[in-house]
Amino acid sequence: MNLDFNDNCNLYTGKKIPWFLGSLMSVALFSIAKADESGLQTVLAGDLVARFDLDGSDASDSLTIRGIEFGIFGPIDHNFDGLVTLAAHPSREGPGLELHEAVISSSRLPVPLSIKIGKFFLGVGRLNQTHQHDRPFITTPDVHSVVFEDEEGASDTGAEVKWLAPWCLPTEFTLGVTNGWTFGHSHSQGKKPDQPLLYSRITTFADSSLLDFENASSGILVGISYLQRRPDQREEPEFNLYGLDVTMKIRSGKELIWLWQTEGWYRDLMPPMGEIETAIGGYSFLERHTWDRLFFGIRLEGLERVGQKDLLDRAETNRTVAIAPVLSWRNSEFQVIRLEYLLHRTITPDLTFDAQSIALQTTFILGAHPAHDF
Amino acid sequence: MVISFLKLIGRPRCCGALIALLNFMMATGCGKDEEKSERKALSFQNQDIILIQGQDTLSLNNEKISGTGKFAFVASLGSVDGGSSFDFSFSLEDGGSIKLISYADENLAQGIEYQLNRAGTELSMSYESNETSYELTSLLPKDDLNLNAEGISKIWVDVHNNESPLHTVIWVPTGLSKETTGEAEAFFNSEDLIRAEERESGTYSFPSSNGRGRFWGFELNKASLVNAMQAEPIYEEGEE
Repeated sequence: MNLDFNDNCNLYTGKKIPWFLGSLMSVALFSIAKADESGLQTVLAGDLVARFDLDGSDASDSLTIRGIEFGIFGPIDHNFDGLVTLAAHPSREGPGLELHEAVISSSRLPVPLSIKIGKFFLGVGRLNQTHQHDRPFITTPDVHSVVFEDEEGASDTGAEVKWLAPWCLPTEFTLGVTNGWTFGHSHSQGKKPDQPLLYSRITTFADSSLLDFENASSGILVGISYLQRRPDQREEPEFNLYGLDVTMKIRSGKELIWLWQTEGWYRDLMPPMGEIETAIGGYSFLERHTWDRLFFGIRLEGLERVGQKDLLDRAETNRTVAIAPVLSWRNSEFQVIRLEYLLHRTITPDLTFDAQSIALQTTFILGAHPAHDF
Repeated sequence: MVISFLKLIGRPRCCGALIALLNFMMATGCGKDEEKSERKALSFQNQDIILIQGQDTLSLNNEKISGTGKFAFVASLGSVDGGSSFDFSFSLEDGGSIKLISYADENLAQGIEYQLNRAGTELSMSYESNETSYELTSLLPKDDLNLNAEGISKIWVDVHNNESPLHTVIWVPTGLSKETTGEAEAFFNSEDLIRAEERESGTYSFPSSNGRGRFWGFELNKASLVNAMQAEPIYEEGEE
């Protein structure tokens, strides 16, 4: 087994903050928060993954520090909150810290709006707003990697406004505008786009009173998302992205008994030349508490590029499907051990092949963790 | 021991039910809808190709395509917004050249091109996108069994067309296996060319534009191609 946790601080040449400095910052800031009672809180979250190839997969049979996230957050004044997170991921330069989020936000304005300004994960879909260490499974569904062009998700710098409509069925409208110079995985600052990136989302929540669940913290959240990217059309394709996500949680007391999380995405992508490419896909994950702190879940997923033709004008099949059973041991709110088997099938015009892998993960959280949405 | 146990779990017999479920998921999807076309497909190593240039100057059988001309594979690369690896073996006559063209349009234009030339006993290589080219000759491994001007040479190329700037990695695969190969074994990785000031400005002095299509093929000039395969990228950044 190759342990990939290199302490390569001496490799840093860019603007990244050395690993050890992040650790010192964590301790120092925690001390500051304790000392001044300002409400400043710190968090350090770790995500360790070992993925083993069973047959035909790209798993590298090694243990990887997939992500370490260090964050500070707290109230700025009586109106505004602040959040800064730095994340380390394996990269060519070693596990350097990069700015993940830097946000000033408020939900305590005189108007019934909440706002967020800074760098953040775009407020669309479910997985895109969930850090990897907080996800209920280890591997990333294909549909997410394709439409957000990154396994973790798409983030950008801009502003987001939310309005909670005063209706009997709680409905929240989100509108976001960000720079849009890059999207997903990128090694550069990108180029000025033809127009900024725009997105919107509508969510509604049905709680236990509407659904006749016994527990007050149970409920179903349904979201519809839209995202529009218009980069420099001479360089990159523009696209529209439409999504639907549903999350259901049924609890007994504080205990999560059932989790159902599903997302579907449709993307039409317009290359600088040539025909429109359409991709449609989704995943559905159902998890049940089984015994003590053990949970069993299974994820089904599929992704298809629709309407593509080959050079003989024949419809082309480009599809992936996968099944991933997941066992999670939630030792506490702050530590999870997870085992996932992934059977992934790729179907192309020329061949169909299966890949199998198995992954082990442990995540941990030190300190306070910012509150999550439902 | 742990790995052996995990591999045991993954044996096909142990996951027949899951495979059956995958088959069900596939069956519920769309079928292949074939239409007649006036273009005539030929077969090269059990892959359909169409000739774009060189009907009279290329000779073809299922094992080898030789001469001068240009051809494209009928099956696309899936998406313009994706990545692929290309594994090809070839030989060149003196003065000959071979060009791999990827992520191009139906006529193999507007793509990313990798060209190898032979002059006597020397090989040279460059790559190009959107009229910007970069010379790779000085980076080519010397005295490598798989890089032989007078014999058969073998190259692996990763094209990550979904990254900006364009990311490409190239290997001469002597002693390498795709399952275990990473960027460390490559003789060229375009990420090495990115300088901080270029990253800031978004303007690069090397081929940075992505290919504009989703087709691939080769242009031969006094060359023979004896193997050509396309698959998922060999190297993925941050792979576990």
